[in-house]
Order: sequence, then C-alpha cells, then structure tokens
Amino acid sequence: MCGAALVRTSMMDWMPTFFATGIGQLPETLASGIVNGCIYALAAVSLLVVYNVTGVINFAVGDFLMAGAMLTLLFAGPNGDPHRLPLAVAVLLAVVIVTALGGLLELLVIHPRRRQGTIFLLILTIGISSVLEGGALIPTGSLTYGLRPFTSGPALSIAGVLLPRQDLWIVGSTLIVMGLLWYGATRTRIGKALRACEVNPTAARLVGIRVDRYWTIAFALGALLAAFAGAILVPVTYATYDMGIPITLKAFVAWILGGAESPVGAVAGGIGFGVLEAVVLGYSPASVANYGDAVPLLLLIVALVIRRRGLTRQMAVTRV
Amino acid sequence: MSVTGSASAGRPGSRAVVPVSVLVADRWWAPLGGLALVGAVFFTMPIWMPALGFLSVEDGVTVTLYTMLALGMVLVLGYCGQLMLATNALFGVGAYGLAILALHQGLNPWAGMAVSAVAAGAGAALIGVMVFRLTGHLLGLVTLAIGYIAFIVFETSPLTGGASGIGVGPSLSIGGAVFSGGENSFFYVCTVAALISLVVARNLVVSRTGRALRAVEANEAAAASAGVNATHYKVVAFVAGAIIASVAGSLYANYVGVVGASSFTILVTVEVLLMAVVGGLRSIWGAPFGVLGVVVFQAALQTYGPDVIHINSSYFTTIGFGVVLILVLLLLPGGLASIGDGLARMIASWSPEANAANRRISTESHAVALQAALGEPSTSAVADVSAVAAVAPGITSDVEGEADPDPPCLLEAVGVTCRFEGLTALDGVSLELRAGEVVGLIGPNGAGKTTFFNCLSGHVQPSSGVVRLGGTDVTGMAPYRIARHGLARTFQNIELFPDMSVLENVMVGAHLSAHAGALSAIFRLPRHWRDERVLAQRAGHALERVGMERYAARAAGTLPYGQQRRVEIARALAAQPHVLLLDEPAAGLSASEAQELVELVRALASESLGIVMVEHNMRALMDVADRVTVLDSGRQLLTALPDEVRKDETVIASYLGTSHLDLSRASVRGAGARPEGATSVPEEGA
Repeated sequence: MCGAALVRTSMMDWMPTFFATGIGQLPETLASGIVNGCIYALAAVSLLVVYNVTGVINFAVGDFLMAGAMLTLLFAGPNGDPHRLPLAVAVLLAVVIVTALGGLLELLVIHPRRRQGTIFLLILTIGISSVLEGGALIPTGSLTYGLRPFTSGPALSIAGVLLPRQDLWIVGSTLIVMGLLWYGATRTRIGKALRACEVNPTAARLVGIRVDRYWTIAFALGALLAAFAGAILVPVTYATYDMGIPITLKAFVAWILGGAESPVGAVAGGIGFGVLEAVVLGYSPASVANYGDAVPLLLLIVALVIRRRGLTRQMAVTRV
Repeated sequence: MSVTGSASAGRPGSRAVVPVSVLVADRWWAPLGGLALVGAVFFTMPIWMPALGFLSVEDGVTVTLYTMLALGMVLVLGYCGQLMLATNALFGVGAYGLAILALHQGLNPWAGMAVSAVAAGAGAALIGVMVFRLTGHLLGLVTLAIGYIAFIVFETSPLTGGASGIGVGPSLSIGGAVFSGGENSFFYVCTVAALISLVVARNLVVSRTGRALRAVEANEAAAASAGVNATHYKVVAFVAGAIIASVAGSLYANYVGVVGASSFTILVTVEVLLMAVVGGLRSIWGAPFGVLGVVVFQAALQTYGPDVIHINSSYFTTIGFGVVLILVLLLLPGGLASIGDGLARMIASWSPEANAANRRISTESHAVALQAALGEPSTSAVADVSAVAAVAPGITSDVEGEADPDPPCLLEAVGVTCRFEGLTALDGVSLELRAGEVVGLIGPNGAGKTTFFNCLSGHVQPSSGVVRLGGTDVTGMAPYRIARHGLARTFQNIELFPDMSVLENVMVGAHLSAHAGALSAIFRLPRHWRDERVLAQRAGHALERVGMERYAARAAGTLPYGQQRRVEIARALAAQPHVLLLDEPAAGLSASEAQELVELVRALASESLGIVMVEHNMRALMDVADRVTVLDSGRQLLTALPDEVRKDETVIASYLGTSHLDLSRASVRGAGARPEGATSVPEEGA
C-alpha cells in the first residue's frame, strides 16, 4: 500500500559532490562546500526572484533544476553517443526549454489563481513539482545518470588545493550568471520593471507596468536560474528524477539564512549553507554523517526557530 | 438599534431559555448522517472493491488509514490555515513506535499504539510551539524539511532497522480475536478507527475550539483581539491531527508486519495533501471521499495505464497526482465537498416552495430563538461596575455606580511612541480613560490614530511608553492577553470572519466567557453544551444591542458594509469589555444609523464602559465624546472638551480645515462625509 511511495528510490541517491571527491583536508572540504553552495545560491536566487515579484514560494525550484540537468544529459548524451550535441548547445537548449516551461506553467497553472492566498499558490507549485518529477520519471525511470565534466583533465592545483575542473566551471559560471543578473536588474528595462513590481506592485501598475505579465517573467527567470544550476551540476553528481525536493529544501534554507530579502543575501546564504554542510558532514563521525542531509537541515531549522532574524520583518508583521 | 438590551445577561448561571441546539444548529446526533454515509461506503469496500476488478481489500485498508491522515491535514490546513507538511513523520512515529516498543519493551500492541500516539502528540506540540510563529508558506517548507529529516532518520537509524526495516511482533487482538494484517477482520478495525477519527474531527470543528480555529484561519489579528490565543489553537489542531496520524501509523505497522522507511517518504505527505484537496480542504466529510477518489484513480491508472502507453505502470502515478492536484485546485477549489454541497442544493431546489419555506423557517427560528434568549431583565450596569472593580483593584473603593464623581481609570497610556524604520508614527501620545467616559480621537489621515489603537490593543509594539489597563501594565503584551484584561476593539477596515455566520462571529467575540476546551468538544461533555449555550446567548444579546439579531444565520461576508460594521461592534461587545476601542464605527453608516450608533455609545458609557473612538464623522463624534484628543503626524496636538477643540486654531489648521468651520454644513453632506482636507486615501494603519 502507501501508493507510489513504494516505487520511489531513496532520495539519498543524490549526494553532494564531496562524497564523490572523498573527504580531504580542510581546504578541499571548504572548496567543495563553496561549489555546492553555488548550486544552492542559484536555486535560492531563483526562489527569491519568484517570491519577491509574486509572493509565491516556488516549491518546484528543485524540479526545474532537475529538468535542466536531465535535458542537458539528454542533449549532450552519454560519452560515445554519435548523435550528441556539442556541450554548449546542449546546455543552452536545456536552459531555454526549461525557461519556456517555467513561463508556460506559470501562465497555465499559477496565473488563473494568482489572486488566491500564498498557501494556495504554494500548493499549486507542489503540483507543478509532481508534474515535473513525473514527467522525468516516465522516460528515465528510477535510473541515475551522469555526464562528463565540461572540460576533461586532472584536477587543478590552486594554492596547494586540488580542485576538480568542473568545480571551477561551477564557481566561475555562477559568478558570471550573478553578474549578468545584477546587470539585468539594474540596467535593463525588464529588470527595472521587475524590481518595481517587487517594491510596490500598485505603484508599478500606476506607471503602466503590467505587473501580471511580470509574474510570468519572474517564473521564467526563476526556472532559467534553476535550469542553469542543474546543467552545471550534472557532471559532478548523478541526476535522478527525484533529486529536486532535497535541493528545494536546501535552497529554501539558504534563502532564509541569507535574510530572504536580497540576492546578495541569498548567494551568501547558499554558500554559507554549502560550507556548513561540507564541514558538518566532513568532520562528523560516520554515525552522524550517515544521516546526510538531515544533519545540516536539522541544525538550520533549530537555528531558524531559536533565532529567526533571518526572516524578513515584512513577512512577520501581522497586518491589521 | 436597541439601547435597552443588556450586554451582560447570559453570563454563566443565567437561566437557559432556549436550547443551544436551536441557536447553533448542532445536536449530539448531528454527525450521524454523515457517519452513516461514510460508514456505508467504507464497510462495503470488501464487496464492491474486488467487483471493480482493479481494487482489492488492501486498497480498502489504504483508504481507511489515509482518511485518518487526510483528516489531520483538513484540521490543520483547512480549518486552521496552517500548512503543516510533516504528515509522513507523524505516520512514521506511530508505525515505528509500535514496532520498537513491541520489540524492545515487549509492549502489548494496543499499549504501543497509545504510547506512540502520546509521543506523536507531544512531539507535535513541541514542534508546533516552536514553528507556529513562522508565517504560512515558511511554515510549510520548514515542516516539510522536518518530514524529510524524519524520513532520513527512519531510513538510517539502527533503532528503526535502517533500510531493511523492523518487524512488528504480535498483531493487535481483543480477547481471543486476533486482527492480523492479512485478514478482513483487520480491515474492519481500520474502518472503525477511521469513523471514530471522523467524529472526533467533526466534533472538534463544531465547537468553541473549532470557531477559534476558523477565526485564526480567517483573520488572526481579529481573532487575537477577541482573546483567542492563536498559537494555542494551532497547537490543539496539530496535536489532534498528530494523534490521529500516529494511530493510523500504528495500524499500518500492524498491517504490513515489517515497517520500512520507504512508506514514509515526503511523497506520503504530498499524497495526503492531494487527497485532502480533492476531498475539499474545508470539509471533514469530504476527506474520506477525497482519499477514495485518489486511491481509485491511482489503481485505475496503474491497471489501465500500460494498455495505453507501454511503460512501467507505477511511473504514471507521480505525474498523475500532480495533474490531478493542479486541476482540482484550478477547476474545483472546494473539492468533492463542493459537489456534495451543490447536489444538496440541487435536490433542495427541486421543490422551490418547500425550499423557500425551509429557509424562512430556519432564519426565523434563529431570530425567534434569539428573541427568547434575550428576554431577560437587564442588570448590566451594576454587573459591569463590579466587574471593573475586579480588574482595577485599589482604585475602585468608591465605585458606587454611574453617578460616581471619580470613576476608576480604566486605561492609561503614557508617552506612547511608535517608530517604523525611521518613520515616527506616534510621538509621545498620552491618554487617560475613565469608566463611563468617551474619548474621541481625531486627526488627518496618517496622524497615527489607528497605530495608536494598535499600540493599545497589542497589535503593534510601541517603541516606548507605557499602556496600563485597570492598573496593569500591558505594554507590549500580545493582543490576546490584552483582550483578557478587558479591552475589545473594532478595526478600521472591517475584520470579520467572512465565511462564518454572524452569530459565530460574535460568539468568537465572547470567546473568553467560556472555557470548554478541545476534550469537552471531542467527547461532547456537558461542559461543551453549557458553554455553547452561554456563548450563543451572550452573542445574541450583543447582536440585539446593534440590531443585527435577525441576521444571525447569515454568513458575515455576505452582509452590506454598514451591517458588517455593526456585527463587528457586536463582536467587541460580546467580550463584555471594560475598555472599547472603536475605529471609525460610523464609516459607511447612514445618518440615522450613525445617530443610533451615538445612542449605543452613550448607553454603553452609562454602563461604565470606557470608550475610545476614532471617527471622521464630526457631528457623531462631538455629540458623544466627553473629551477629544487631536493627533497630527503622530504628535498629540491637544486633549480638550469637544467645544474647545472645535475652536482651537491649530486643530482647525491641521485637520478641520482652514476655511470657515461649519460643522453643521459638513455633517449635512452625509454621515460618512469627511471633513475638508481629509482625502479618501486609506490611512497608513499598519
């Protein structure tokens, strides 16, 4: 009984990168924490963009990430597949498709009910999450897939710290994406309009910004960020159809940890969480480290509940 | 509006004129109809399920157990508005609890079930107290994380047998009868458990506790101002749901024999959420049908899906769930329960005359019952003064009644200052309110009037200053605690509970005059019925005072604006406060209604209430106020007699307008007219 629960493989199949590279010295542990943190940061910024514009917590963020990873795999193909596309094209295609999917799902699912309360919309995004997971499950099954690194070769040694090449790709491209995001938000029309929607939707509407349309754009942008994270992550981990929810939870924690207000905070929260996770799991005895994700999540929930300064004031104020 | 009624008759001990059943449309046998329907469907599952071809009795067990889980979701999310997504953890606590206690302690399975349920309830209370300060959607993700952590612990811990699971030990038994998992007899045990859970949930929801839950869901701030401790009721709902879920988990353990972690993934929670949504989140009786619908859908998909697409059948489930969840939310947000309601209405409409008569009778019986309940002599003035003496000791030695030359000070605010990130909304405002006194509070929009009220009622924490109620320092107390010190209020933008009836709204107002808790409600103890009667009568009196008793059965949200204002005043009166804060009570009232309001306020003051009133209707305000305090940009310009305020130059400049002041002309424009200089932009009230 218990329905589909039985068909699930364990969510523990998804492991952070440092399990793959082995537990090394402190610098390596910190580095792998930063690498994972970049993924969490991208996902957290995705949550932030959607939340700030729409007030919706996008529960499907991890599943958009999974979709980005799966499509990258699909297009880039396993090694030796003659029909595979060049890596750059595969990543681009995956990101574009997932971005469109994000916008489309917003239009079809969220948009008709956007006047409803946040909890209602959150439940709708849980539905989207199931659809994406199920959509990935049917073609891939419960198998796991991996991809070669973007550039091959041995790990690079920088200042005595051994860094796998894909780690550098992840950190570097995260920085670039964040830079582009900053540029877009402050220098472009769409970016300025998005920020206007988040600061004051009513005023934005009064100056002629079609706020509703920016809901779609926000979801699409959120999906873009998540899909990109998935695409750069897939060479260092295995993609499974159910990798999304743990990432959603961690991105959420990272988002809250960073103050839930600014992209800078979200990035800091993501990297902070990644490092915390790496250090806690890297230096715990095996009997504790076996619990994997549970350990850092539990620590953070306890911290959040005891001292929730990370939560925004605007969310805590009861309006009368 | 009658000014002769009494707000305080109907206190405990007063004669019960009308059975409460007439007032609140509830009788001990009321749930039997629904129970019979669900029971008929459930008990026959061993017959009709195999007949369908793709279902078995095992699916029947699934339906009964998941019904219990879905009920928890309906209680906590549907009725209390809290997204708690840790169902899988609670389910697991019941299952593993039973198994571990049997294995390590050799405990009888019934005892194991009870101990696990207590543990789940205690854990839920602990988690609830910790996380319920978080708001809606944050709560959802934090509790989901808790569910995820629980799953990892189940899967990893040696205590729970890790990935291979843990054996359960002896089956449940009563006397010689053994209910082991594979047998039909066990199915009936599960069905009975599900039906009991249904009654428990239903009784909990239709009670003082249930009204408090719904009030918290609809409007936490308004519920708090009626003295409802939101956290308490959220925890009550969560604990009740947790105990039910844990019992379901224990039964599940008995059913499968070996408990493995894969039965407690987050997907269980998502599945239960889906079932509750399909059944209708606001419906106890919808839950079993939601579960049934999802289980049948899933089984049909797995059986017939591969005929259409040749892929592993179980792969369809996840996407199917997602699609159904989205479609139900988009197309039928009320779930199957709304179809049930529609059917009931349709059947009723087949005989329109009978229907109309029915409706008339039910409305009238409400009204008649109220009339009967209200026909009691008024003793309120004396009662209220003695009540004041109770909260204001030390200054009440000379309280003798209305003619007291030095009535007690009920409310004292000293130097109340409130800053919001650089903006000083209030700057050292002071106020003193004595029994029987009406103080008007005026000022232009943005002057800080509503913020001042919020500081007094606890909805906003003052940055500095002191608020005393009857001598007690209540500065910074939570609103529900301030309400217990005898302060009631209305809100500028009417904050009723729109889906609840007018009577229920006002009964929430009287919340503090009864004490029946969740257990009285669940077991329908005498105390429950007694308190329902007290609350209904008290609410009835309050409604009569504002002239709204005829609308007792209407949903509050369907009333026109002016009537909603009156209901809100009735809700505040039902609390029998010593201090009453009225925030623009005349807004939206016609001239004659405003006059009735003035009379009501006078009558209340003559009963030794202290009243502070924000009002833009100058005539009404000046008519009724003993003193007027003028605020401007957060500062207190002056406090003086109405006539002095009228003539004061600074007040004229800041608020009443610089043109020749002609109050009579201003009020001719209509009771709701605002003075010149005041725009219709809503006040910044936080």
